[in-house]
Formats: sequence, structure tokens, C-alpha cells
Amino acid sequence: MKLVNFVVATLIFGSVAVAGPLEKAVIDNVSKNVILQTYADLAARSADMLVAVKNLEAVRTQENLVKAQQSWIAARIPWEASESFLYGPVDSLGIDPMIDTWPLSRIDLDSVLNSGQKITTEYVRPLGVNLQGFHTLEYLLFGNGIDSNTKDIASFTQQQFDYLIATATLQAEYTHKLHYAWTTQADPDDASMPGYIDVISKPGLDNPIYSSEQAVMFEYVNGILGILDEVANGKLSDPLGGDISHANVELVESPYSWNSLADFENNIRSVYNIYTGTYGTHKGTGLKDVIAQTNPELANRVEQRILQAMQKIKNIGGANNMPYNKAILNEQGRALATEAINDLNGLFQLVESEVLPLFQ
Amino acid sequence: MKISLLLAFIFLSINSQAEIIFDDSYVLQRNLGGEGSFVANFGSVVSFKQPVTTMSPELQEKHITGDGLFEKNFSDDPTRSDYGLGPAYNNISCASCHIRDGRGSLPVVNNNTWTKLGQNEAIFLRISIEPKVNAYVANALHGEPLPVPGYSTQLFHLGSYHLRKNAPNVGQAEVWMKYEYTNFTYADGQVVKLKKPIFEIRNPYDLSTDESGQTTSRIYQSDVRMGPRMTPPMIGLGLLEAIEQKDILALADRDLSAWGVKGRPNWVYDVEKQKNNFVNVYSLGRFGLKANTPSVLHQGLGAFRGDMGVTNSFFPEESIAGTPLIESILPSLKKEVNISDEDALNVVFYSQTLAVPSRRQGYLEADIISGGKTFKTVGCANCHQPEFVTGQHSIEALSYQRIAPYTDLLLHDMGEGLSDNRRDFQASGRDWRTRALWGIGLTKTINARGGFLHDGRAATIEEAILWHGGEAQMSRDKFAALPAAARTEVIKFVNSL
Repeated sequence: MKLVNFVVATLIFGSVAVAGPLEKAVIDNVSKNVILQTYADLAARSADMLVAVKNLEAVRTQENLVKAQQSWIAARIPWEASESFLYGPVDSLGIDPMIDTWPLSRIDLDSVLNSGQKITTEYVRPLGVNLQGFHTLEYLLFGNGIDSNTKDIASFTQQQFDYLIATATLQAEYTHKLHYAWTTQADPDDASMPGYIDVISKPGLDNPIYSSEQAVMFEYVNGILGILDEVANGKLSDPLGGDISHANVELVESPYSWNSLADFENNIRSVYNIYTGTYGTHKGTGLKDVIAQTNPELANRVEQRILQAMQKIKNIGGANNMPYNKAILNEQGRALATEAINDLNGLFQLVESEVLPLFQ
Repeated sequence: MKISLLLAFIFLSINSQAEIIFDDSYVLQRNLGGEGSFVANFGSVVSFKQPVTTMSPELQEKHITGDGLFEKNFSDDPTRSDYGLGPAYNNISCASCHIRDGRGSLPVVNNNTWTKLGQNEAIFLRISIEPKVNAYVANALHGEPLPVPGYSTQLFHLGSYHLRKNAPNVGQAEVWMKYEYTNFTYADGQVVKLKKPIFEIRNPYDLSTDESGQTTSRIYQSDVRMGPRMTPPMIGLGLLEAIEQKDILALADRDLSAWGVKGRPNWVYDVEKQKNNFVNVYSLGRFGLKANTPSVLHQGLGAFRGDMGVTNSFFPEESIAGTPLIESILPSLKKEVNISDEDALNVVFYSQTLAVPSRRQGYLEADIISGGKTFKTVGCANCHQPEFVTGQHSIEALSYQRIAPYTDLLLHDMGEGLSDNRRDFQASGRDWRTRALWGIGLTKTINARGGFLHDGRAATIEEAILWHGGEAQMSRDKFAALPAAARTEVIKFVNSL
């Protein structure tokens, strides 16, 4: 019977490559030096942001406000650069909505600030996901984003400072939990569960989630496809509308800091990181190296298209470096946004039609 | 379908011992969702997020449009275009509960202390009252759940910040949870630890003090029934809808008395019939954990209004309409429904057209095939019906498909251990609709903490099997009596689906 099954299995799965040392090296590098390092930076920079907002509250100067704003932008980079690998604890522990729900509820936030309640971490903790996380911090630090992306330090109230510290405390807590779940214990309720790094970097028949190296790389590619689609057809397209009269600035993510285009570029940076095994100055092996074994031309072409897509997003701001909530109200900005969307969709098609089948 | 049939042919042709007879061919079927299955050798976190592959490009686009609304976070700010959330709700988007279109998970409960359901939970409580029989007949001829006065038939643990002055972001009441633990011991001495979530309601909005100084709330009265509901996966719903009613009712007519099994249909309120002025507004229940809704439209748009407070033309009233809780906030609510019919129907279409993933690499291994055969011999397949051919559906790609959902869509008494003691049309507290098993082996790939059964209590397939009682008791016992290796084979087979 086993022989018969083997024959049938060979007929069906004959096209699947057997994982070799390179595949193992790619998984090891991407998991440890890209994914884990991204989460380590997210946790560290979120902790830095908490320090910065505490400093701001202690010494209320415009200079400290700028430092706090910069700490937000710095923490935002690894988060956005994690969005091509939104699998594992970020989902199963519900951390994504806790730290990055968009839109925030400004009407409720104003209610909290005007409520006369003493605002503490424990007061904010059970509030809605739309009253916590990056965008709540962003609104408090940068203002409403309509005419500028900063505010006067004199405009802050004590309630706003208290809310900033409470939210930044929770942000640091959640991002630390996320990092811990990857390094040490993926499920806080299950002490037998190792860190998710072990789950994803040690595939095999005894692994409940990833049965083989190909399964892990299939996950990588699907993660890449997911964020390419979301940036093109959600983050960029939704606010753009069919024409300028249907542009909707309400739908632009990160509008208060005017950081939207940097967010989107970092989303595609995360694609680049997984694809090439790169993180910052670190350069290891990535999906590209596996593809290059059999098709170096395709491997290079995909890399160039990823870099091109990042550049197209950067271009949307034009010479004046317009934020996306302004660009969608400007004919040139709209044209450049459409170009970036088309480019991203082209990259999606390329990955879906030529890369995914290699790992499917 | 073609690949599966080819496989069966190959297998039958080269298996000289002919151990696999046609009746067991389900163990060989790879594309459980018919020709439109999403075929892949491996699972992925997006395995449940794929459209039915045989749809036209135009319908694929429509699916993607619906996906956008499924993922959309609603706001309770009436000045925004995405307004519609609340004022009382359980979550802010469909996708927040249906995590990547898969099962939800229970909250993290550190050291098993009472833990408050917070934001972004994939579980809520259904509630209703159980009056005396005469009153029941008078008020609910078809067994409709009767709303708890001042509440509804669902407990909303979240609310807009300004809904309750002294309880920010709390809805009708807080819900707290922890676990009760028991052990199951096999005859061979192996022990499996089982856990069951238990719930406590605190801080209800109508808490008052009577003349004797006792605090009370309508939700604490003895006639109130409540049952937890964990979000199920979204795949294959249109295919389940396409199964012909006569085929489901035929399964109810089978004589499985030797197994102690008697599947029953649930006949339930149908909002589409109501909207189209039918005299009889009841249909066969297919969806919901007690088969308490008849269609994807009814289930989905009811959840929009119920779970999120997003009203639509099928469910135009706010979920807490007519209760004192809404009065203070009523002037600030917009009068018109929150989403257009076009948007609503796009989401329904999305929900109907999520493909069932194929079985993955290794599904033809000998131990899995053996486990599949045992699956039938111990009686699992009595209810987890593996074979249907769909009838005609308005979405052509769903019509006339050979599918293997592993459900009979019927109600079964599952015993006291799973009972929520709450009636839902003809379903008693002990009755649950047989869960579809297609795609179940990808549960942990999609959500590593994803839980099985109606309240997500079972962390593994084995735990889920061991909770089976009532009509499934005999099968559960037969499974438990198997040698450990055979039990493992059955579990591997289920995980291969």
C-alpha cells in the first residue's frame, strides 16, 4: 500500500522541489535576521517612544515635541516593514488591531479628554482599539494634519499628556509581548508552545503548522502578495477614488504625521527584506537566492521591480514632497499615485504568476 | 473534481487488493470544494482568503470589492464616511472576529484568573429568555429566541465611549471569562486535559437596587439563557447554500438508530422571505452554530447589524433599538441605514465565494487513508457527511459541484458537556449543527491559537472529539477505544482535510 501511495504522491507532487541546504539557510536567515530583528526593533523603538513622551511631559518644549514626533516615526518604520509577514502571534494574540487600528475614533478620544476622568494606563487599556495605538499617538503628537503636521506645544492639555503616556505605555507593552511571543513562547496560555521563531524556522512533519521548507517559503510568498495587494488596492486606491471629486482624505492612513507615503514605502521595503534576506546593513540569503538557482533572470527582475515600486511610491509626493492626503487632491499627485498602483499590481501579477508556482 | 476522480481511477487501477472500495472514495478526494477549490500543496495564513477559482474575472473583482468591506473598520463618528459602528457592538469589523476568514480564539487568560473580554475578541454571548411553555407557544411559534427584555438576543460587551457615562466603551455589560478543567483518561492510561470556558456577566447597564437593598438586573434573572459563540471559518459557505434542501432532508430521514443518531432540520426565520412578503417566512436553517439562519445573506447581514451595529436594509433597526440603553444616545445617531444595498450584497457575495482549500501534500499517505476509513467505521461520517453534489445556485461556479464538506447541516444532540441550555428555533440547548470539517487542518496555520467547537474550547482535534456526547457518544467511545496508533490516524485524517 505504501508503495502505491508513493507512486500516486509522486504523480501529484512530482513538481515540488526537494528542500536543500539553501532553502534551510534562507528560512534561518529570514526568520532570525529579518522577521525577528524587525520585531526587536519595533519593541525597542516603542520603548524609546515611551521615554520620549515621558520626557515631553516632564519638560514641555517644542524641541521635545519634535523628538517625540521623531520617535513615533522611528517606531513606525519597523511596524510598516513587518506587514509582509503578518502571520503568527501578531494575529493570534490580536496585537495588530491593538497597535494599529485605523481609523481612530476622534469623537470618542475628545470625549475621553474632556471627561474629567483621571487618565491612566489602566483607564485606557480597556478602551476601544480605535482609541489606542499608533494613530491615537499620532493624532496627539502631530495634530489634525489639515494644514500642518505639527502643533504648538502650548496647545497641549494635561489630559493629552496623560493620554500620550498611557497609550505609549500600552504600545511598548504590546510590542514587547509580540517580540517575546516570537522569541520565547508563542501562546501565553500554553507553556509548551515554543517561540514562534522555532515554529517557522524548524518545519517538519512534527510541526503543526509548517510541514516542510517549501511550506514556509509558500507562506513568505503569500505574505508578499498580501501586502502588495493591500498597498495597491487598499491603502493607495481607496482614498484616491475614481476621480478627484471622489477623493476621500478620511481614508488616508497616517494623515496627521503626513507619514503615509513613508508607511507605504516601508510596506514594500518589507517585501524587499523577505525577498533578498536583507535587513538594514545585514545581507543574508532570501527567496531571491532560491529562485536564482533555476532562473537568475527572474530572480533579478523581481528584485528590480520591488525597488521600482518603492521608488514609484516615493515619487507620488513630487518635488514638493506632498503628503498623500494632499497628493490625492492634486492632478499630478493623482497621476503618480495611479502609476504606483499600476506598478504594484504589475509586480503582484509577476509574483503570483511566476514566483508563487515555484513554491506552491 | 477532475483531479480527484483521476486520483481515484489511478488508485483503483493499481491497487491489486482493491482495499479502497468506491464507498470510501471520499478519503481520496483532494478538492473538497469542487472545481473551484483553491489548490495548493501547502497551507498558508491566507489559505482561507482565496476566491472560488472558477469564477469569471468580473466576479473575482466583485469578490475583491466585498473583501474590502469585510476588512473595513467601522467608526462610531457620525462625521466620517465609515460611520456605522455601534452604539453597542462586539467588534469593529468582520475580519476582526473572522481572523483571516478562519476560526477565532479565546482571550489570553493568565493563571486562569477571571479575565474581562476586551477589544477585538472573537467570541460573544447569545442571550434569550425561556418562559413557561404556554407563553412560549404564544410568543414564538417556531421557537424563535425571545429577547431578554431591555437587552436583545445578543450581549454586546462593547459600546461607544459615550454610551454609558460611568463605564467607558462598555456595552450592555462586561463579560468575564476563565476556564474549568477536567481530564479524560483513555483505557491505555493516556490523559488529555480538557478545558471549558465559563462566563460571568458584570456591571450590566440596568443594575439597580431594590427596596431590600439587593442589586439586580434583568440579565441576572433565572429565565435568562446564554451561550457563547466563537467565530467559524468563512470558506465554502456558498457551496453549503447550494446543497439542495431535499438532499439535507433525506439525511434526516436515514435510520441511524443503531448509532443513536437522529439528525433534524432547523426551520428558522428568513429575512429575505419577510422582505419579499412571503406568508411563510421560515426556511431550512443552514448557517450559524445551531443552523439558526437560512442563508449567507441572512447570516452575514444579521451579523453586520448584530456584531457591529452596522444597520442595513435587511436589518434596519439598531441592535439595541427599543431598549433604555439607546435612549440617551438616540439623538446623535443617523436615521438612515449604515451601508447601502450594493455594499451589503458585495459582502454577501464575498462570503459566498471564499474557496475551500484543497487537501495538502501527503494526504494520500497510508496512515491518513487508514484514518479516513476508521473515521467512517467509528461513525464520524454519520453526521460529518463527506459527499454531496450541489444543485443550482445563482452563482454558476457553485452549481453542480461534487463537494466534501463533512457536515449533514442537521442538528444533533451533542450531550450535556456541550450544552448551552439555550433554545434557538427547534434547536435545544444540547443541539448543535454538525460542523463542516473542510479546511479544518489549516486552523492553526491561519491562527495558531484558533479553537474548535462552538466556544473555541478545544485546542486540538483530539480534544474536540473527546467533547462529543449525546448522539455522538457511541462514536466518541469507539474512537476512544481504538489503539493509540489508530486514534492518531483518525486525527491525521481530519487534519488532512
